[in-house]
Amino acid sequence: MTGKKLGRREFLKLMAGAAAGSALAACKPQIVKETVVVEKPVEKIVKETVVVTEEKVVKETVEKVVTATPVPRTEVSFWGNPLPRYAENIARYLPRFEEEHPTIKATYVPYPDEGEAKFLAMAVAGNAPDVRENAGSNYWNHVRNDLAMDLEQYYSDLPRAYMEDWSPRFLEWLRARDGSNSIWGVPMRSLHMVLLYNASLFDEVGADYPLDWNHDEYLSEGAKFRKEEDGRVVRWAGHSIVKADLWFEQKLKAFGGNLVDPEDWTRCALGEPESQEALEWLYKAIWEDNIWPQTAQIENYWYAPFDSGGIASQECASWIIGVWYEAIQERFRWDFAPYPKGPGGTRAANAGADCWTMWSGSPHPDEAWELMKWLVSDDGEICMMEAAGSEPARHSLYGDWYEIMKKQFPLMAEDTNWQAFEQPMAEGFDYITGVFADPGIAGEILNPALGQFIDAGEVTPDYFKGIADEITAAVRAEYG
Amino acid sequence: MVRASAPAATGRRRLSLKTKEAIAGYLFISPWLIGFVVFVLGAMIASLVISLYKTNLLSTFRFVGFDHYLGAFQDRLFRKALSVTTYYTFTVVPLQTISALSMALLLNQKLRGQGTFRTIYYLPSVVSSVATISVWWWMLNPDVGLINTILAKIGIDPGPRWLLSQQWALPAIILMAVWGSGGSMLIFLGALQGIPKELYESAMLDGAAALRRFLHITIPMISSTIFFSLVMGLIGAFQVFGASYLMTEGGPNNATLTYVLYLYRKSFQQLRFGYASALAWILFVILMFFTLLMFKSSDVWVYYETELRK
Repeated sequence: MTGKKLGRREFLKLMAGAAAGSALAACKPQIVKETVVVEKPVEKIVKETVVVTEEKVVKETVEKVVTATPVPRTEVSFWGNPLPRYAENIARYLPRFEEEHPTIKATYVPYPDEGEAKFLAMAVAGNAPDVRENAGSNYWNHVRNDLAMDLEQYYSDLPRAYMEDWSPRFLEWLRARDGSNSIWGVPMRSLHMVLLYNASLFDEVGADYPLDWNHDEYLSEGAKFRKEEDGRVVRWAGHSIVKADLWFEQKLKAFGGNLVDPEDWTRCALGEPESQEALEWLYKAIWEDNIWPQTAQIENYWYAPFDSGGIASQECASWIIGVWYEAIQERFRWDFAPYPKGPGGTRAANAGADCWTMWSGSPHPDEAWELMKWLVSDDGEICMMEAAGSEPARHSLYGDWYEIMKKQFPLMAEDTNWQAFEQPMAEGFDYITGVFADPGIAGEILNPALGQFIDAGEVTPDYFKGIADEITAAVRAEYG
Repeated sequence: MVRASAPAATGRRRLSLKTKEAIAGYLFISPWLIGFVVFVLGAMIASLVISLYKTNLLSTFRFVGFDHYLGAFQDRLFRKALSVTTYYTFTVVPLQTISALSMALLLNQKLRGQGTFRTIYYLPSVVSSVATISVWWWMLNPDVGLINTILAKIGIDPGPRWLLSQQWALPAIILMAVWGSGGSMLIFLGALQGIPKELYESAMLDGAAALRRFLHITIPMISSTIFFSLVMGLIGAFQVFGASYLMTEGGPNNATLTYVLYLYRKSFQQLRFGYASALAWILFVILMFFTLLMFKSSDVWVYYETELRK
């Protein structure tokens, strides 16, 4: 006896019926069980006649009806700080953004290695992140190459309090140089340059704390710290990563000089007398008095031996605090001072140039803007402050920052001059990193020259007069 | 009258066996062929087209013709990169070949622990380049590095400032490259072991000394391997990137600015893809020139056992 074979038509009918049934089943509202934590009064008999009512935290299982058809949400992604603590903070705080914006799904991606090359490839492919961290010359690189969205139309949507809270110098820096109102970023954080100093070492050599140093005192007091052992220098007065243009420019600014002419970003100002004076100071500190280490004298130029007491002071920003705190612990007392004054008694402190930008090709600019607004809100700022230790972009949040720093670094909770970081913004001597119209072309000429000056000591400050002319000519030839 | 009609013509021509086999062959190599066409040939053609434009591949596309090619030779840094790379290549390749051949000759002896020594000499070429660079960075430190410490012990104090010196930075990178010639050493070892022993026995019977045997038997018999090593070495050396990118970033003062590092900067850092593509094609032409030159010269000095010379 043979069974009837399932023909093609019957099979197709069967499959269609199964598919329709599944679709209907999926549409049916589902009942899900969810565990919630509630507080409810519970009576407890203490004695026979005494009944005590107390609030007790219990867990209850409740049933919730969930519609099977989810509300469509627009997905936006952002590249943020890659520190694990930032990821934890984002996991904690981002749901608040999504509660306030139920139609937006925001995804955080840690800023990847080789991020710039990856971002470029993704931009060409059409799937770059909607929002990302940006900074300094890279910001202007993105602007020049139409990678960043002009946010001018969105800026009026920002709370007025934010506009008054951010450094006006930062907002000015973010704006177009052609006088238009275009602006492509929102301030992300501050990284004010201060002087970290080993207070215990200052006590040991009998030097006054550098709370109000000028650069002459920097040199004269600095000589007290230099120490040699077996013909090798093992301790210096200070250090700064002046091979990097941000730190290099900081030194020029302290003397009233500039790397980039503030009025003309096609002109290099290294030839000006104030800049030359700063270069003379650097040359003396590194190559004549050697109160700053030469590159070959220390194992790691980018992380000088401040934690081992090899360096009495370091010019840096708040991002390094966590690194040194872990390494130093209670071995010695260290503190912060404002960046030393220049010859005229003026101060200047770099504030960094870290900002959030939106990709110009973002398919959801409005939603991405909502995410950017959240990133610069109190929640967004706290995520960054708690994770990276960096200061807020908004002045009013410095109170929160102090609390966060004292909590994260309990050994420095008392008797530490945290205010040194706020001082530049409070007193108006903060400035934003200078940028050439074509940073790539300028860097090709400047970086080798810095190497000759800082690493090798093969050239003297005069050399930079020619370099300044060369940079100006090259930038103007390319930029027009 | 019935006219006999010709048989109806068939609708399809039957393929010959040769054609069928050819089609089958192409089908077998089609995966590689498709990959080559799309990812290599296609990319090369795209690069050639891009080199004729001033572009950042995003928003700017301006046709400039051969301006990039002509402009390259006016570019001071291009000339510097080309001279640095040429110096590097024509120093590293002979040194690596001599070093690899010397090690292979030593390891071709029947000695105890031969396997261990082969491993030791081969290890540098399997260590990741980043790890190698990190180790050499420390070894080349002018103050605390191992090399200058040894030099100080033999009376050379102070030693060279190596990566911090314009004069010594490139020799330092060359030294590191020669240290990593274990891969070529293995290839030479294989070639040496393929030389028939009868040739040496005949030569010894005829009274040939060791040097004569080396020059008239060993070298000719492995000349094809030497040729291969030189060609591959030349192509690889001209494209050196990692050491200069990670150790010196092209410094000090562009003393180690290699061609590909310069190309990388122009493309991925400055987004000048048109110019960078032109640089890539100039490099291609240079490599083709030297490769063809070597192939032409091989008629004179390279011996292949199966070759019939006129």
